[in-house]
Amino acid sequence: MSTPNQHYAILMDAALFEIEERNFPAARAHLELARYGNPTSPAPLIALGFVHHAEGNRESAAGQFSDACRLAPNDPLPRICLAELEAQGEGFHNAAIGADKILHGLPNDKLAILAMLQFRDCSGETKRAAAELAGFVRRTGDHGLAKAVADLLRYCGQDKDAVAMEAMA
Amino acid sequence: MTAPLCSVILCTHNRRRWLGRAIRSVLGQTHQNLELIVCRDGGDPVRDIIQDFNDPRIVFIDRDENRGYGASLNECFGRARGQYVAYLGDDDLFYPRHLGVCVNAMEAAPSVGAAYTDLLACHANIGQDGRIFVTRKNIDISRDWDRFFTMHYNHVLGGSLVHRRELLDKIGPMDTEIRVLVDWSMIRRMAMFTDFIHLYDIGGEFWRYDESDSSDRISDRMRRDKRVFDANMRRIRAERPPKPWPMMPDTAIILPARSVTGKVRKVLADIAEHTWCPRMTYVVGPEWERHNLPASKCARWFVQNQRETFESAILRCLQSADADFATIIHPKSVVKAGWIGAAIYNLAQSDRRAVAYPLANQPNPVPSLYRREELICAMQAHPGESPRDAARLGGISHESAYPDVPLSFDGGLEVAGTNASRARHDTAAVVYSGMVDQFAPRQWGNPLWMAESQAREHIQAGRDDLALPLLTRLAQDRPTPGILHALAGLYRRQGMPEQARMLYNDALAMLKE
Repeated sequence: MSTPNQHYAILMDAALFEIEERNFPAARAHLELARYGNPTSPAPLIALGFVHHAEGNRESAAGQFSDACRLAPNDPLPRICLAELEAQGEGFHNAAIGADKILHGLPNDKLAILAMLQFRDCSGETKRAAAELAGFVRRTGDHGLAKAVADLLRYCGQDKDAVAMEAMA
Repeated sequence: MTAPLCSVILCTHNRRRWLGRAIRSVLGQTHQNLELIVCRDGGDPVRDIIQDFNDPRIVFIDRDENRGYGASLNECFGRARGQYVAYLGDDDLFYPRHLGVCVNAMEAAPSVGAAYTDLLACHANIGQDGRIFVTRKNIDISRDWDRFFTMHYNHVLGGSLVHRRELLDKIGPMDTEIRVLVDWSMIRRMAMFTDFIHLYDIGGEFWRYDESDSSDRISDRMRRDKRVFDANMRRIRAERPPKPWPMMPDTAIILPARSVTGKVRKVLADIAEHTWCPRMTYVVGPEWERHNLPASKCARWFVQNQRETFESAILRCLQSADADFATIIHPKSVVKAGWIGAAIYNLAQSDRRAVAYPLANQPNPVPSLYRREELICAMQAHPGESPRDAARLGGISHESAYPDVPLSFDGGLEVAGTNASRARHDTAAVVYSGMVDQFAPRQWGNPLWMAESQAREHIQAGRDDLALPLLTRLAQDRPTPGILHALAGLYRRQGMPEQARMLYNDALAMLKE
């Protein structure tokens, strides 16, 4: 029951839990330490952006997302977060909670699964996210997503699953 | 009643930063009747650190030359006065009950010579600002005592070991040429003399302060050099402490050869590479070829007299060999991984008399492993016959299969792992559960390790209901950050946020340095 950076994983999990519980100071403390423990990952910065936004501090949130963009220039998620914040400023806290929900009993919630995809992608677990998304498509019969999921699977080198997913499109 | 004196040996080399913490953990033991022997093996001076403790229980040996862990241990052995001996790395630490738990267990089991706990393997990164971030703490190895496994691979961490002092007299001094796996060299030799008790307590922590491949630990540096590592492995497997070995059979491998050809050299090299139980190879051949035998601790030349048949020379060789088991092989024999282990294991386990087990993967006629005395009797009774025919005529049964498989626990682990990798998590959980029952009678059930593995598979299979009782028990009996983290996730999913928060915080508290 361990990951290479177990401490970081527990901190991120505990932070998401505290976000869900709207205990933002505790979440922030966990995320700051997670940031120190894994300085190359944009995930703590993005989650910190969610926390600031949920607390009504949009400027700080934008700052965190911008830092995340600089840290991971090839990762689309921080840019999406920043763009969405600038466009409407809504949805980030929901995305964080949504991401959590997928872990906690709402496996067929589309918002949650998409948010989860972003979270997983952000933390380098794209392959796992693709598998989960494929499971979602199979369970819900959401054929609209099938083509995109097939592309994602192919990107992850899972050609066999991609072909099966394309057949559902 | 006075508690027995315990000697803790701590060899140090360039670990000033951590040494004080290690010493504090020893002096803070609940078992207070101890001496701590600190041996500086070159490197940074540490006398000031020792003096700061101002504790008469510390014996300090200060050597400027880096002689290696084995040489330092030998010096410490000579100074140790305790009835029990324990070891601590200079950047590791004991938990307060470690010595007490081990000593109590051995006081209650006088026939057992050694005990060991489990250790948390702690990994940390040191940031550019000098701050330490602990990345993980896990019990990497928690394995019940298995003598034959120990011959093959070490599952007893040196820092978790406490043993009776007299074992040191039996195993002899450390080989100072061995610079990697020194603990294993010692434990492997001890296994020839005594059983060990595995205690499920967490006895302490051992630390690695670098996640990258650049650790400056001497044994780590050498471990990265495969040539050095393999040479050490062969050297350790060739170790033969003074006899008698009450717990481990010795095997004589007899290889008749008219001359030391390339094939003979290859067989000898393969024996050294692929034989993990103690053995001695006797090459039976004419006197004039003796000087061609490659030097080895585990190979001897046995002179075949002029005009003497090989059968006669083999019989004399058997009679002179100080071994429990014997086999006669050919230069064309196939010596590769697992070639003799199963035969030794089964013969050692078997109560049956007059039985021989085949060596694995051999061309016909397949050589067998015999009890040496039985083979001698058979060959004496049937002179002129080949050893195999003499054994058959002498009533020794040549079995064609093994009743048991060595390292079968590891076979079970492989089955479970294969199922898990194919996403058959329910099946993997059943395998782990079954292994506890299957191996418990032999005391290799590894119940905590298996329960943790089982819980992990239940979670992967989405069976939180089955994982919850296992994790709850583990969190009570022997919590680790990983177990508390997994349990927190279960509580979250069950809508119990307070319990989840408490467990997250407990897990994070354990991950502090």
